[in-house]
Parts: sequence; C-alpha cells; structure tokens
Amino acid sequence: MNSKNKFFLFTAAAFAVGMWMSDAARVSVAAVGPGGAPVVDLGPTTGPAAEGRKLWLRLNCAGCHGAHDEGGMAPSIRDEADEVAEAVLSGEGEGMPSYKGRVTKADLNNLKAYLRSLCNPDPLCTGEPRFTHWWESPPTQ
Amino acid sequence: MGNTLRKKSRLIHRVFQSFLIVPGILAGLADAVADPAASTGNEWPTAMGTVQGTRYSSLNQINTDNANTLTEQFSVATGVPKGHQGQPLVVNVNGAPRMFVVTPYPNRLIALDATTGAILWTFKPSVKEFSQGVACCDVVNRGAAYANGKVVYTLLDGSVVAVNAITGAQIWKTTVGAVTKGETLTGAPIIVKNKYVIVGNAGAELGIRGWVIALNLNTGKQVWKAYNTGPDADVKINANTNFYARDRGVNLGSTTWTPPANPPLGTTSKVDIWKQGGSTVWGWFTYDPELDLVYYGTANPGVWNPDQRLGDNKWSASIFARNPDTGVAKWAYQLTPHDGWDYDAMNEVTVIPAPAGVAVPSNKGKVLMHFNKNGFAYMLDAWTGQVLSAPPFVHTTWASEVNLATGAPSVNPGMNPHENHITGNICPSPLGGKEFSPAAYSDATGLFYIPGINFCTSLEPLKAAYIPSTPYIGAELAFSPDFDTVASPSAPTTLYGGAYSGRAMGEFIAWNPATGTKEWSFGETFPLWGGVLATAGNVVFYGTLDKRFKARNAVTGALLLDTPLECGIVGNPITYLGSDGKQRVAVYTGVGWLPGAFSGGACPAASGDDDDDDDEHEDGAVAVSNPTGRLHVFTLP
Repeated sequence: MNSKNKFFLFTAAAFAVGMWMSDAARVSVAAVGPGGAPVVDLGPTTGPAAEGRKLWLRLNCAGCHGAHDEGGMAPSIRDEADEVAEAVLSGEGEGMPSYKGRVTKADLNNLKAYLRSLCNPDPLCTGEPRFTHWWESPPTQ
Repeated sequence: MGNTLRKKSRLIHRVFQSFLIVPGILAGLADAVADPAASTGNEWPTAMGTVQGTRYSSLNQINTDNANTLTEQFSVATGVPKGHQGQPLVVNVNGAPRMFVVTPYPNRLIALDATTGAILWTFKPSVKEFSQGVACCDVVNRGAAYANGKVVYTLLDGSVVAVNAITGAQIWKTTVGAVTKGETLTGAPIIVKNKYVIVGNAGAELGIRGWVIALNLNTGKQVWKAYNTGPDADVKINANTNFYARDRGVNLGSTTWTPPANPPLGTTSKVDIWKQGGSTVWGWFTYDPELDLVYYGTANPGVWNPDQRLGDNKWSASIFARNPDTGVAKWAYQLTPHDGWDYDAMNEVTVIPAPAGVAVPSNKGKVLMHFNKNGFAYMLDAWTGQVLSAPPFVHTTWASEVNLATGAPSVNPGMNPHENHITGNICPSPLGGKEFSPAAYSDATGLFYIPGINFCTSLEPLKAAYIPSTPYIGAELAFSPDFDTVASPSAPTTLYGGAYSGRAMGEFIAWNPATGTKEWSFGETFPLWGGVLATAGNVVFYGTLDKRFKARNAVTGALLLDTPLECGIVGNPITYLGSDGKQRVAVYTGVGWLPGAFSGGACPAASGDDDDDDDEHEDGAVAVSNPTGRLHVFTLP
C-alpha cells in the first residue's frame, strides 16, 4: 500500500485514546463525503447487536474496553461474550464496577449480541454496528 | 490552511508523507538573570529536584566535554511492568546517599545504595487491586518526596503512605481518596516547611471532583482540604481579589457550571454538575519559600463533552496559588475557560527569578513559567497571577493568542467543539504541545528545556451518562501528526515503513523566557513523554519513546550522548553524587499502554543480571520472568 494512502486509525471514542494502530490489520481507508463529513459504515442500526452497541456506549463500556472493543484501560472482551452477563452483574475485582440494577436481562443479551458481532480480524466487515450517536433512534452517525 | 490539509485532519484517518527538515536554529544565550534560580546539590530530595520545580542541578562533573563518555554503571529491574513515570529520590541516610524508587501499581518502594545499586529493602504496601481498572491512563506513579527521615508517596488506591527511610517500615498510611468512585492518586506529593505533605487526586475522566489536601508530615492526619470546583467555602477562595475580571465573583466554582436545557434521559444531572467536574491535580506541586505560596494546576473539566457543561467551568484548567498553612487561595487564574480540548493546566508551574528585562508588576521579583498543553508558554507574576507573556511554543490552530488584558485565549472561529460536529485539525491535540512530563530550567543558560509534542486531533463530542467508577468522557477523538511543516525541526523521513511528512512528533525545545522565543529545537521521532534534567555542566538530559537516552549541550543543543536502552522512556532523569564523589545520572525505562503503542508495547523481561527465574527475589524487589521497567544509572568512566 502506498504510504500516502495508508491511514492510521487513532480511534478512541469515549476517550480510550487509542493505541497507535501501526498494525496492518487495523489500517483502513477513509472516505470523505459531501461537505467534508466522513462517510462511515454504520453497520446495523437496529436489532440485538445494534441495541447492544447503544448500551456499549451509554454504559461507558467503550471508555475502558475501547470504542470498538479494541482494548484500552481494560482489555478487549470480544472473545468472552458468553461471560459478559456475569461480569456486568458482579463486576471484576481489578476495577470494573457492578452494573446490577442498571441493566435488564434483555440488555445483557444485547451486549452479548454486540460482542459476537465484532469484526475480528476483518476491520471492513459489514456486520458490526459502528455508529456513535447512541441516543438517536435509529442512530445516524 | 489548504483544503487538502483539512481533509487530512478528518476523523479517524491520517496520512504519512515525506517530510521537511528544518534544522534547529542556534542562537545566543539569554541575558543573565538577576538572582540565582533554585538548584539541587548532591541529593535529589523531591520530585522536581527543587520545590520551585527547576529540575536544575549545580553538579558539573559531567559537562559538555565528557558527557559523550557516560556509561551505564548499573541497572536494576523494578519487577513491575507498565509506565515508569516520575523519578527516583536520592537523599543521605546514615551518611550515605540512598536512592528510593517508587514503582507503578502495586506501588512498591525500593531502597538502594545510590553508589552501588545494591538493593537494601523493598516496602510492599497493600493497594486495592480495584484501583487498576479506574486509572484512566495507566497505573503510574510520579514519585516520592523526602523530609525528616520519611519517604512519602501516593498509592493508586487513594492512600498516602510515609515510610521510614532507614528501615523501610511504614510510619503512617492515610486514605484520602475513594477508589470506588474512580478516585486514584498518581501524582507526586510535595513536602512544605518540613510540616505538610500536599497531594491531589486523579480521575477527571471518571467524573470525580478534584481537590488538594495537606497532611501532617509526622502523623498523616489531614490539616486542610480544598476542592477545585464548588462553592467558595469548599474551594477556599475569595475570588474577588483575582487579577482578571473573568476570574472574579462569588462561588464561580459552582455558578459557572450550567447543564444543557434538554439533556437526554440519563445523561446529565440537572443540578450540581460541578460535582462531576474533574479539575483534578495529578501532576506536580511547586512552592516558593519567599512568597510562601504553593502552586499547582488543575486538570480538565468533566465531562469532556463541553455541551454538557455550559459556562467557564471553574476552576478547571486553572492555576492556584495557596497558603500552605491554611490552604486558602491567594489567587486563581483559569487559563482555558470552558475547556473543550482537554488542555488542562496540570503541567508543572515553575518558580524562577524574573529574567533580566522582564518587569514584574507586583515588585516581588518572581515569575511562574507554565508550558500549557494548549500550546502557549505562560509567564505569570508569581504574586498575583497576572499574565506577563504567553506566546505559543508549538503550532497552535485552536487559538490565535492569549489576550493579556483578559487573560483568556482568543479561540479561532469554528474551533470550539460541539455535538453533532467534527472539529478537525485541532492543534495541539489532547496530548498537548507538552504533556505532564516536566521541563527543566538552567540557571546557567537562562533557558527552559521543553519535551514538546506536535500532534493534532479531530474531536466530536458525544453525549455521555455519568455512572460512578466508569469513564465519563463523551468524545470521539482521532489523533494525527501535525502535517503543517512550517518551521518544523528535523523529523524522520520514514515511519513504520512508509514515507513521512509532517512536523516531528516530538520536539526538544530550548525556550528563552526573557524573549518568549525558541532558542533552538530538535525533532524527535515520537512524542516526548519523559521529562528533562538540566545541570550546571551545561548538559541537558532526556529520554525518548524509541528507547534512547540523550544528552545535549545546553547552549547549542548539540547531541552529546545517544544511548540505546531496552525500552522506551517516560520517566524524568535526575542527577546526584555518589559516596565515591562521582556524579551520576539516573532514569527509568518502562512504558504503559498509551505511549507503549508508539514504542512497541511492553518492556522485555529482565535477564542477564538476575539469579533465578522466580517472580521475586527474596527481598521482593525484582521479577525476572515478566516484562519489567528498569532503573538505569550512568556515570563517567
């Protein structure tokens, strides 16, 4: 890839100021639309995984585990989708608070669906909800 | 700035191109200062070397003629991975120089013979493991302070501990922060008048409320506590005496925090949002004995999303001057009102005599230098907080200047971030034109030496909900190198296998405070994340993320030493005299998750100089099979 077309993803979302994405697996290509607005593949905006994505952002999971679960303050947990319910309800000793009373059983199932939707290792797959405006229904960005 | 460059600044993606070299410009020395600035001697008894924060040593055995011959005398694995910020202390204990190293979590204190490197003992405090998960930016510690036979430092879980410097026994431990709310302690304490231990909390990214606290050095009991947000009584301030009109008023710490009219359900508290207002103090304290004032800067306001906290948001991104006996503020000055860029003001506030030619309106003769993340080099009257000058020291796109009449920056059109909009090409980035890593001031040259950063960002505020003990941010960020190459110092031509064009991501800057200009600067491949040491031998020392320990001629900037080490450097060099009468220089290696991404991740495991494969020696100090930070000590042959 010509280096002029090589884009480095400094994601962060919710602060997780993101790692320096020199790994080719994390390199993707930007597109710029009319007015300079970034064109982002939002992925699904409805359904269980999308509802899980909303929770991922609203409950500040993204702040520790990364905007797209790439890790940061806390590790990536995409391979632990089956254990997410227990961790969310009980918390983790190394710094994750319990969300007991803040989430429903449906929420937990949606979070599990979101983690299972994550596009690892293909960063350009289309099955992962990627929106950031969690408060909109359906999200537009 | 051209449209092409603007596109480069769009969210998430960045281009690397070929680059432009502009050699550092050599210039003459600053005029001599009227009074000597504070310096260390044979010891290094406090985090910044001197309580004034100069990081300047009067030792001169190592000089511009022999610094190139420095060799490593010993290296010690701390047994702890993660970012080794801060620096060791060296003080005379029982007639011999003893070194004290504070590790990242679990915050061990390692005592060494400073002349030989022999480990004497290791103090292993009990630290709540939960604290690891609520430390936003690695489980770091920025060092200890020493007085009256006690080594005092902070623990990540919100405690402060005093340890007997001879025996390693705990003298007292006081819990001052609530880790379950997201409060941690990572900053270095300062000891004032051999009476008070002053520390501040960390956790602005978790929606906590910033404060500073003074503890009795002998007992650990609280003497006073002052918040940085909230009513005047909590802040311990009469703001009507502040220098700038914008900083005068009643209860500004609460009245300048207005929630939006229609926050979505579950996002923002309707009242008292200053209680989640951040404004913490996780960096450095300084003190001037003549003025009897303690200085510190506060961090960013919480939440990052500025649309969820309308108003100036005092006293975030501010500098305080407080009476150390009472905690009452002499003055406060907010550098970046309504900070939507994470510029903070927690970088060090260095006290120096007024440079020749600089008039100090209070006639007290002292000025403060503060290189803010926002890219401006503030010189303040140390007695009043009046800004005497504030030119940019790096490329700034977010504001054109600091208005000296109002004290406020002139924000450029379109550079205030708002929801539903991506504000691009914000320079400096939230990494700052300079991060927390402290600069040094040489009394010999009259120059400051700044570990600079040239980075930009695009930022979109997002709605965020406050949930205790979780990140309360509300922002999507995309960092990039600064592709504006005007006046760029030397930069690498290639990076990560591709051609690169842009400002050097790191920039080592010699700054003349008398003129408010760069004397010279040199580019570095990666952002400079470690601090600087200046010495009377006219040598300045610093480390880099690409694993180099460097020394430069303090006058010309010429490179005197460039030594490869096993891991990146985010620590601050110190110097001291061994019992053999030889000057030494010490620095940590060891990087954590954020800067580690630049330098190839965790440090290697210890090897070669250890006796076994266990995680710990019998003294508990050194792990050999896991990634570990290290102490490196250099001396002349």
